Amino acid sequence: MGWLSPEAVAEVAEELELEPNALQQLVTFYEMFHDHHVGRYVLGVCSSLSCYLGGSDGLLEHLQKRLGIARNETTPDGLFTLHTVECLGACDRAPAMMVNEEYYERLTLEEVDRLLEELREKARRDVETRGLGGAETGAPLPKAEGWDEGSPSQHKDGTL
Amino acid sequence: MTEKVLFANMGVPNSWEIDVYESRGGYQALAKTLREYSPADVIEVVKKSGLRGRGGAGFPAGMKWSFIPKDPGVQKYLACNCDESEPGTFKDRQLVEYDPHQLIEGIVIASYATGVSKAFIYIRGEFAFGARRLEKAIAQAYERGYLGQSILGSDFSLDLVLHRGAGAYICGEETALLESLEGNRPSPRSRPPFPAVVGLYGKPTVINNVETLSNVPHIINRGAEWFASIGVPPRNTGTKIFSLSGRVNRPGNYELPLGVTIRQLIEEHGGGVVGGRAVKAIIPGGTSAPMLGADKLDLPLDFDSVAQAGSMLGSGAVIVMDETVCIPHAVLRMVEFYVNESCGKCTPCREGTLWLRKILERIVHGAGREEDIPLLLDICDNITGGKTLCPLGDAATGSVTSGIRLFRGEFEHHIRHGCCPTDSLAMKH
Repeated sequence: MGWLSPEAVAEVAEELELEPNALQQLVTFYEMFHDHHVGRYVLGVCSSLSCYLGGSDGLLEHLQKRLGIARNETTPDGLFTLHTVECLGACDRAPAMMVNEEYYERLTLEEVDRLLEELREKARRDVETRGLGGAETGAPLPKAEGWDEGSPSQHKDGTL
Repeated sequence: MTEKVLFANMGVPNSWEIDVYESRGGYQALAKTLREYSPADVIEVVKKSGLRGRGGAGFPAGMKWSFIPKDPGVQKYLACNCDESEPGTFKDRQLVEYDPHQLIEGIVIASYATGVSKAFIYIRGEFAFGARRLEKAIAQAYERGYLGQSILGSDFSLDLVLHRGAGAYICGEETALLESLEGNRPSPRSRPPFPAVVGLYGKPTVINNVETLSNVPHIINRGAEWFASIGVPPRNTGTKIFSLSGRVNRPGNYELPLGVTIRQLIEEHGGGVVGGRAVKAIIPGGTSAPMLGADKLDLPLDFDSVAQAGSMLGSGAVIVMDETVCIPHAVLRMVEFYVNESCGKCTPCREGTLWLRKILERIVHGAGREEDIPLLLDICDNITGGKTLCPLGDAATGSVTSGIRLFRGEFEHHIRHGCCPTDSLAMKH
């Protein structure tokens, strides 16, 4: 799951009456489509200038060490794939990282460790409850949910 | 403090809800437009206001709208560009997350002015949270009769569709955006014809940035003269949202009149440079804009002043580098972005950016050669100046040429001594 196999692309192409290549070129073009196996959680560390100035290289190095993988690799348990991504538009809260479709911002190394633990725990629970998920536990992590103009503190108003 | 216009609703609880927006005067500009103005009147007001595009190019919005053919029999489209991907820029993200109705109201008025019956918002795929907020806001606007058939009982109808991208900087380039909307591989088109004549699905298309369109309801409500009195009239009017990031104490989005100086932005609003250090270089408009040195701190941030200083205001993303930042390293980081994001259609951009990266890598890793500096400049020269279909190639060279012009000594030091001249990389944790 989370990636587009050649078989899946061929199936969609047939449905849309297109050449598979017309779709495959989109799969390889866009960053958010994957044409290879990825882990349950795809970690995208922003590596653009503002995050670089805010310590993203240190964050990436730390994640490589903690997960025991290099960039673009997946952990053997299939949980994490580590990518770098280009500017996420979170430049005032560097360093930023995207986990699947969720932003985590102004991350300290200690928070990253807790985030990895939380994600592992979530995956364990999901397996136990057959993918039904569960409530998150532990201290809140700096998930991007709020915005105060020019203020380093975030308000937590992530409701839609 | 200067008055907030676009950010007036920031901090108001549930500012993204239609009830809150209406209670603060929202959708009054649309009602006024449909009641009192002809489409040509709206274009005239926006022209008079002096509003220039906030996406990067700074083209006058009213003039852009006036290029759309008036023939009512021709299908026309509007595409709102929310592909915000220019490194350093995060203003549209805040606008759609916290005031989506302000944007929707602007889109409806702009569509009325240009005879558009179907509009799109192209939002970058990474902005999943903003997309959810917009999706809900669009549904609310339909429910209240601000979108759909016979808007507010008038004979004007408009459909608005939210389209999520999937991660590609090039989709912020207007013709690539149209290709992406059509489901094609998003490569820029050759111009002319321009999108105002041949755009989406071959039809006349208005393309405006989120911040540009968000300004429109305020111009209708308060008049062209009011808008034109803010900033540096007559050519640089209104407020601008500056996305301030890098080595400052209080990074963030700041809405200020055009013409505020870089020093005011950094010191009065951004809380100064981290650690009280000195500024080494500033990028005034996203990494596509050439760097400026510390001698330009008193430069007014408006389209014309920044262009005269040899750079560009672009998206208004101001990135601050302090004295501990190694310029060759920073330039390499900026170039890597363009290597990854070049769509590959034009050879000078596709190949040139690769060579820029290769040479910069050997310079910062201690294997640089004496001839590398002129070689970098030669490659830049062979990318720029109309050799590519879109500005991405030119953008890729801005940091290289300005970096060498302002900080040549740092490149030479790397080449001769194989190490950084700056006490840098304090940026690691």
